[in-house]
Amino acid sequence: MIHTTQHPKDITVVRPGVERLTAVNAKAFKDAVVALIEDGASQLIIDFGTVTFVDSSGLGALVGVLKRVGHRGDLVVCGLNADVAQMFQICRMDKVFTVYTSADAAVQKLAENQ
Amino acid sequence: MPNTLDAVDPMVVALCAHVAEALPPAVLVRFQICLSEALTNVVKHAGAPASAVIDVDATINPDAVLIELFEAEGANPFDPRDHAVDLAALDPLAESGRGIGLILHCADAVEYSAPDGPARLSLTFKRDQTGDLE
Amino acid sequence: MSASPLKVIVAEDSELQRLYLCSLINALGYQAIEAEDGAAALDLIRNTDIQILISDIEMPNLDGIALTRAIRQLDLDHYVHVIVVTGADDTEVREDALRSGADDFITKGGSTETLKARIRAATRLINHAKELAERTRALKEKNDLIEADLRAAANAQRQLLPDLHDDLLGFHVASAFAPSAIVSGDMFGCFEVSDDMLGFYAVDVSGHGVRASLMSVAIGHLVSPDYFRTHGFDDSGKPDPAALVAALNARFSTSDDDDYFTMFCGIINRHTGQLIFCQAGYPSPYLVDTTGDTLPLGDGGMPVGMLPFARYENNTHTLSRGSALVICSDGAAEAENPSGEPFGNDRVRSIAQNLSNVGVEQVPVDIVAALAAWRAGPPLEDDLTVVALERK
Repeated sequence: MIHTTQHPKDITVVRPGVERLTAVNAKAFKDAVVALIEDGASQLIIDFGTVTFVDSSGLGALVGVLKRVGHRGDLVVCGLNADVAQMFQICRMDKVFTVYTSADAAVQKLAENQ
Repeated sequence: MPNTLDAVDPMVVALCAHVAEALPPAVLVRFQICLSEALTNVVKHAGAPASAVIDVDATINPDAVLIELFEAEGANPFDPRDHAVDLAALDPLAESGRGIGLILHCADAVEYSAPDGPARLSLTFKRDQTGDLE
Repeated sequence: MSASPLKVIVAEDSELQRLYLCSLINALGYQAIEAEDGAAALDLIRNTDIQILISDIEMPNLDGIALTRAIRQLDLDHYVHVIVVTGADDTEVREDALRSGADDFITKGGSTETLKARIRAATRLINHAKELAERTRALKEKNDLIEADLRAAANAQRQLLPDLHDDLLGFHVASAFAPSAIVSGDMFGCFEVSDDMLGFYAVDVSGHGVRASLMSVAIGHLVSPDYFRTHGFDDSGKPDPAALVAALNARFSTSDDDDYFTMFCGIINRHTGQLIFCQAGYPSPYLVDTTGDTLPLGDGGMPVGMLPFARYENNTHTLSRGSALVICSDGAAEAENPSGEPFGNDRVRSIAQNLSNVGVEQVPVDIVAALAAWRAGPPLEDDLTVVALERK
């Protein structure tokens, strides 16, 4: 379900490939990203540009992925629309994840940080 | 709608479209989150068979939008108010457990009753507010 | 899915139910089109080419059953698949819907998998119908091409048949020709083969249609005045049409197929009126003299191209001045009227007999007209050739 784009310095941009990241597909999303991490990806950007809605299961999956990355790398999010941003806010997830406006901005920042 | 997770998103989309005119945009965001969590919760925790039917009623009153979810026949009663979780107090790195908190946080009123027939969860959203519930 | 998603009409009066169904259907990769009642759905069916309808039963302004019935009465050039939404135990409603022309059912609040399966089944049928229509169209296109080719062939063939209304070496020749199909298996020719001799022949290839036509055209090209000159005379220079027929027989017997033809071939001397002819299975022509006496010439003979060892013989007769020969293919005698009675040789003969009264030009016309009247409508089942040849 997910689409990935590789960038220099081992940065991977992941697009969930669904409009709504919810209970029905959250586990599949988490499994797919975890598989990327197990294959060695460590600098991950989750691009929500085409996602219109995320529910608590979607957020849970994202937290699960974050814990899998742990200290070995970085995981940031970008492209949140107003509804998704508000969901992050209500659940205090904006304190947990670094949020960028666009994938380009996130790629640049991650590259500089290394 | 059927008692399956894949029906939740279409139902939420339909409900949002149905009440889009009646609720201010800021409330509509909470409405979507609340309904998504409530329907997912009903499907996940009811313990009823997949063939069971969940009835959803939407009533647009002058002051509020009322959503009533009638749980599937044979479902285990589940009153979200008994499982309230403060979202702010939750471990930020917990992977689950936010759903009930979100239902209670995002609706203006939550009622639950389990008479002899199917249990009913009703969610109220006031129409005259503009801001968040913070 | 192809570039543009397949459209599905959702007829449902409850807005929430309708939005829910549309949302489900859109999530499956289709494009749901909303109709708030049966009348709106019927309008959409009438004015678009949408082929799948999902309809509720109870709706204002035309319910699901009446809507289905109305759709089945429309004169559409495509089929509309009607899937009716009913309660799980609504056996009676389902039977009603089936009687009114519904194709399938889904249960209200039923599983999304079932809905998916139902719409996919409808899609398969639509695609299948599309393929069939495409195949039919391709076949028709090919058939049109073949028919156009046939008409072109028929034209070419017609040009090969002489339209004989001429004086040739002191003979007056007239002809008529009526093909049974677009192309024909008949062929005839008449020409000067020397300063004194007129050669003529008529051929009827067995069967009709394209094969027979191809063979008749081959014969038409082959049997030229030159062919008469090289094959139609013996060493002493005496006309020998049997030799010509034998040469054709040798040539057409070698092929593996069973095609053969009947032929009448003659060479006639302008000064003496002596006719030397060879009959090879073709109906006997009638010799008509000025008094109206009518005599069939020849006694049969083997068709050409059937047996390699067949023998052909010449016969001789003399045409006095004013007498004529009427050659007519078996399409005339064998033509049946609506009650199954063949036209018969006697009727052909009596028309031929009239030649001295009506003139040589008129006889072929009369035979064609008499046969048309005999058939009383249906075209001839076999090709018809009539050649009349009068010694002036």
